[in-house]
Amino acid sequence: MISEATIKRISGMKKRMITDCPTELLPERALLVTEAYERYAAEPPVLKRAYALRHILENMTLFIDEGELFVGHNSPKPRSPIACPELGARWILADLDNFATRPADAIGITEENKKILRGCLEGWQEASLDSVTSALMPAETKAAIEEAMITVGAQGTAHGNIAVNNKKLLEKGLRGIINELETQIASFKPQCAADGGKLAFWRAAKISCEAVIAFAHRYAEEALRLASECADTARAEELRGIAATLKRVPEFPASNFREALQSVWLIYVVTQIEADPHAMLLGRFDQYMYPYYKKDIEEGRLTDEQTVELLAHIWIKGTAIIKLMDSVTTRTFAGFPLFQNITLGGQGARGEDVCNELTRLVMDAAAAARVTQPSLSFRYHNKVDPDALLKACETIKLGLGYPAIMNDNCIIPKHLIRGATLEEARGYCMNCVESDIEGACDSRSNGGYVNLPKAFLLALNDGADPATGRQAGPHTGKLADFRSFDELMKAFDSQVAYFVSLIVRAYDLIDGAHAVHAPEPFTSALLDDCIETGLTRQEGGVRYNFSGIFGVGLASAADAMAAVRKLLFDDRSAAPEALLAALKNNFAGAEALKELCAAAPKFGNDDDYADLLARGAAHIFCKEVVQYPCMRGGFYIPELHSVSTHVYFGELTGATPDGRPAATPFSDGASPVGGRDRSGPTAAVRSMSKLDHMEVLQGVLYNQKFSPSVLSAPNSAALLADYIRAWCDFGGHHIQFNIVSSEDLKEAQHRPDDYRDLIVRVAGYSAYFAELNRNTQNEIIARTEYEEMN
Amino acid sequence: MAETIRGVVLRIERSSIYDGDGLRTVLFLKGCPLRCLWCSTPESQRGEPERGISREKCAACGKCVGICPGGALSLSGGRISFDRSRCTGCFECARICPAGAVEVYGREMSAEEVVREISKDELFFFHSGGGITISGGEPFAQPRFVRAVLEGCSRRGIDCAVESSFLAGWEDIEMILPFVSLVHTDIKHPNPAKHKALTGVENGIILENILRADRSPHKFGFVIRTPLIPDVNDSDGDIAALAEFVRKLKKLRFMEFLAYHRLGTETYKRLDMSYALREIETPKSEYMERKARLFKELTGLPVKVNGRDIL
Repeated sequence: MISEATIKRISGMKKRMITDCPTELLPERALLVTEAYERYAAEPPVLKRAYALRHILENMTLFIDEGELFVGHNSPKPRSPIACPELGARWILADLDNFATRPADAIGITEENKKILRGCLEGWQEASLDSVTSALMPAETKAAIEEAMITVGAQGTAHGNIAVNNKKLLEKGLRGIINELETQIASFKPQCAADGGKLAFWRAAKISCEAVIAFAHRYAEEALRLASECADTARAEELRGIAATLKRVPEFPASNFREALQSVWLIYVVTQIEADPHAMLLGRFDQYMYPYYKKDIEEGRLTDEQTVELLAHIWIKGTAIIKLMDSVTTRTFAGFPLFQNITLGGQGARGEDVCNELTRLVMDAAAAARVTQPSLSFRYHNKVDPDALLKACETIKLGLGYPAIMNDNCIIPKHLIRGATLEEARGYCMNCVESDIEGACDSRSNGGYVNLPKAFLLALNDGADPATGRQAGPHTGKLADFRSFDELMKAFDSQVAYFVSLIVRAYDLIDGAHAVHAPEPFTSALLDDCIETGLTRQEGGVRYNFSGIFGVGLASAADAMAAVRKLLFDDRSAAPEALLAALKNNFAGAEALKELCAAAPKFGNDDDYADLLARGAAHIFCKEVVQYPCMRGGFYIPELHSVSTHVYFGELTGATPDGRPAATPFSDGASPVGGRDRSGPTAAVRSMSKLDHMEVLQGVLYNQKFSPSVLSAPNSAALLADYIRAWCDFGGHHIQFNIVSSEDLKEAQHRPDDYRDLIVRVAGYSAYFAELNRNTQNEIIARTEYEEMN
Repeated sequence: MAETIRGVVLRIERSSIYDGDGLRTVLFLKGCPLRCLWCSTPESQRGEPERGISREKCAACGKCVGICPGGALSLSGGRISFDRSRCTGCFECARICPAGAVEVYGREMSAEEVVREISKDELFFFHSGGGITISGGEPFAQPRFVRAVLEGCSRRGIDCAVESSFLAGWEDIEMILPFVSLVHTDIKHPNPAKHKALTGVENGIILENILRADRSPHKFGFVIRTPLIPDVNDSDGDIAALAEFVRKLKKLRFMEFLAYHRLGTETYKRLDMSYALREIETPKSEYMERKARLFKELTGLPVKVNGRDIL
């Protein structure tokens, strides 16, 4: 399916745009925004932002790679993040000297550019979004952030968590959207003082759309210029083709697959330029692109091979875009994640399966590109096309970590609970593990993160951190005074309630600041109901609005609860004072107690003792979150997912009663603590299924790690499909698989500390790889290599 | 009724994909009449629960010595010694060990408990066509218990398979066969004298039982598995003799060759047992394929190597 020519083109692009391309922060966008804000100082924020976008699009350096068949990049060169001084001037300035040297996600910058950027940012110190949000942040929230009890999102950056309505874009073009805006402006009849803002938004949106059309034409001119200088006639022809496409789209409706792809991509790039959000989603790509693919195939204009080649661009170009993040965020969101996501398959409006040829070709393209972004989500449901599911399983076996499997049976009802119509709910698309309704839902899954294991530590110690003695939470009683385990859990409930309320208070204020200072007129124009209501998405113009709060370290918290329950309440084999002293001293001198803690039941082994505690803890968190309305209408929704915040929180939290030493990572997502699920994958699945996935309205992440031996048999893709069916029957929200290769195992021999949680099946028993002797390790590596070859 | 029948279980392993169709739960039992030199689960050989000790983990603190009611443990020269004959099987030593160095192999369970445990993965069995596989030790050594487990599983619609050496009385074997759809057995060596040298017993009864089961009216399939151990049972003559026997089987689904591996050696240390085949390397895949191909040429039967078809 993938031709030599495609592989050559894609690997060349990958080399130039990703692997051989150093990261570099350039000041161009920051300078252009600053000029525009000075020139349009008298305009309201929404118009300032539109003029700024126009100014950037008129003047930014255009990038076209020598291999590209469609174009559009957010900055002058690949892997060069943009700086948004209007949003984050304070943190960018404070972090300027760290970017190049920080341990995770370092970004190069020349001394000269640093100087230019510093000069620019200094002028924004009292005018940026983060200067506003910093002043708004309540003292208690700041204190809780200091204690690593919570994080609060979006203080100085934009976030996506939306999929623009690409179907509408492709059918109407930006010209069609401009027509809608003009109709609104022409018939505008203000009813109250607040309505004045509507006119400003519509005008801003129109300015932005016109600017994007002009941007496409600029790109077309650039392609023609390159064509005229190009000695390679075939490439010159390609460049002229690109120019012709850009003259038509995104201004007009797409008339073929190439135009549709160019239109969708350029719009995606502009939404990144407008505000540099993460999690701008590509939505149900195999659905809205299908009519164009089908027509081209039927009319002989396109082959599947060409389709794969074009689609593979999305991965190279997607991974070439990176977002500037502050140094704390790079610890909680490590690895340059941009959370671009493509959703595949699932149900149509009448509940029918909608997998098609493009579903398969998208997976082929991702496999050809073999890079990290966008990630893929495959929607499972009872009537799923078995061949498409098998294809998804074969793609999983490649070890890229995707597609993730999303369960319609769990997720569609969640959208009904969240207020969508049945048809809308069936049209959901994915963020990471969060679902949105394409074009109609702004779910903001970045309200904040709660450190659940530490909330339990506070519950053990009357609200004080056992390690430091500092009073980090409310007084909820002394451990020695609790007469039952239930009383302890009530204290945990109160701690969680307190920290959730701190996030809500702070995030509503931040959300309000975004509405006033950081509206996105262009992105809003592509979202349902913003034009009709005259409100930007920051003002709640999108049809469905939510704010998400994440519970972090659920399994670590549950394991800690299980140990405390067993040792203190059931067996009475340890005294409260002894436990608190051991936690304070990181188990130094309390090895026997640590051993007892480690031997207590653990979540992930199909043992109700620990599993039901996890379910209980999850419920406590969820019920707290959903009770709050959010600023833009709608309400707060819970999520059990941590990105890499479980590592960050873990590093800043003392020892926990499950035997975990201080300053080590917590469990990931809602998954069991790495390596503690030692009863086989089906037992872990059963444990996971005891959580109430339905009440976790925003999503539950479950990562399973497999050694390739599990997936090396000839029928293993089919077995994996069966396994997924069972997981979905159990009501799971999401599952994804990491495949450990023999290379990983060799790496683990060299860096055992980084692979402490890697479990392998030895002979009839499982063991931590790092704990095995060298010979056994070598034996297992040899076996794995053998299986990989076959 | 089933509640009262108890057996000695080594362990229950879920999510296996190598022991029959689909995703399976494997019930390993204690007790085996054979002593194969290459045995990778030496902890399954004895019939009763027993203890093993990880010398790396043991801090020789002596706590277990004090608590042992039979006086089976003693501390001398910084090392815990174990006198098996005095062990009462209380396993207090495992509970008290602060280093977690003592492992207990085997526990008594009722057939009903086992069935309850097996049923947990019913949804996986349903989707994948999997079920339970009873392995050893030797399942036919606990025939009433095995039968009760299989009855319980069959009643729930769970597919049943066994792995057996076929060294058992025919009545015991016949109690089991009506419940299974698949029987794995391994012919370790076709020659009686060599078989005895390698496993401690001759193969006459084994081969006779296999043939008798093959001619029985019960509707199950046979999978013959042979671990290929370089210079022990892998000569071309050995393969030819094996082929001659296997081609007689009417119920054969396929023949499978397994590569010898040494992953069980750590368990030998824990049990203070010596491992006789120390010097033998795991054979390479080309070697395995060559032997399997030879078998295929001789018989024309379906052959696998480590789960993969040889064409």
